[in-house]
Amino acid sequence: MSALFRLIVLVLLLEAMFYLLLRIYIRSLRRERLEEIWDERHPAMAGNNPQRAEFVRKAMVGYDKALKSRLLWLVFIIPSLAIMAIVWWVNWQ
Amino acid sequence: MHYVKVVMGVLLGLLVFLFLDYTLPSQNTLRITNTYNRLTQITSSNAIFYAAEDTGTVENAAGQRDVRFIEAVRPNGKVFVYRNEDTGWIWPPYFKYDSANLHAEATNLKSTAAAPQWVSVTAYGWRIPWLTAYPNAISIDTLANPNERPRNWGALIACVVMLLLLALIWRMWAQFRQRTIDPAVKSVDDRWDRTTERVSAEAAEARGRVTGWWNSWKGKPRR
Repeated sequence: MSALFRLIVLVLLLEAMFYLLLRIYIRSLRRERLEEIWDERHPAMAGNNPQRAEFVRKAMVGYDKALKSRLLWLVFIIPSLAIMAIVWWVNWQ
Repeated sequence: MHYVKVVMGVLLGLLVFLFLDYTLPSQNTLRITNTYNRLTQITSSNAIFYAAEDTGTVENAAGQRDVRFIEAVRPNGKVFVYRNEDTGWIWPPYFKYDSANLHAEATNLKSTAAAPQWVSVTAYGWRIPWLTAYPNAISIDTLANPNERPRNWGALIACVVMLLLLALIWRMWAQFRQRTIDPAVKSVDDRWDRTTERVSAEAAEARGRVTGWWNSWKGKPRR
């Protein structure tokens, strides 16, 4: 039984690590896109400047509620389901 | 240096290949001839080829495990021996704990050369006779004839998933480099440029002053 708990803890840790890394990644992608949007809208004020940084900061405020951020929780769900599928496949087929 | 890199790369590729070849499931079409248990000495040299810990078998004080074995014959007449051992909950990730059921299934499918019952055994691992290592059987499917070779979906899916993961990690690293490392390097670079510029400007000024002073001694006017 302790082996099963060890597996659960290990898998949860791995998934949490991947969740954090993926969160950093998609937020970075979004920030890059926002900077491009700003540069398109304000060609005169393109490049790194305080106005653009403020625009990006404000646009990122609600990003945790966006669909992509919510889909990120699949990182916890899909591998766990895959493991359950393997357990079922190997032992009950 | 170039050759060292090439050799290291080839060795790494070989290691990855061997690791995948050992861990991913492989399928063989064969006929089961016998199933039995045998006390098996697990030594330090071949422990890596057995279950990570004693799960589902009995291990005695001398470190021998009562391992289940499945003997089989391939259509070309060559023999094959599988061990049938629970993997437990850790590695390799097959999470197999039904080896008793699998053993019953294998015993049920035993057949003779006269009336063969062909099966496809899915297993992982290698048969290394001098290390007493056996592949571990995972599942058994019945087949209609010895020429049937079912597609190895498990290994295919695992390979595709790992490739996708590799591509994702590569993209993540590229993004991190572009957005975090490169700007940091650039700002350090700029600061270094500014510092060296200032130093060289001060040095030039100081030199100008020294030459000016020297020239004043030679009767030349200061510039």
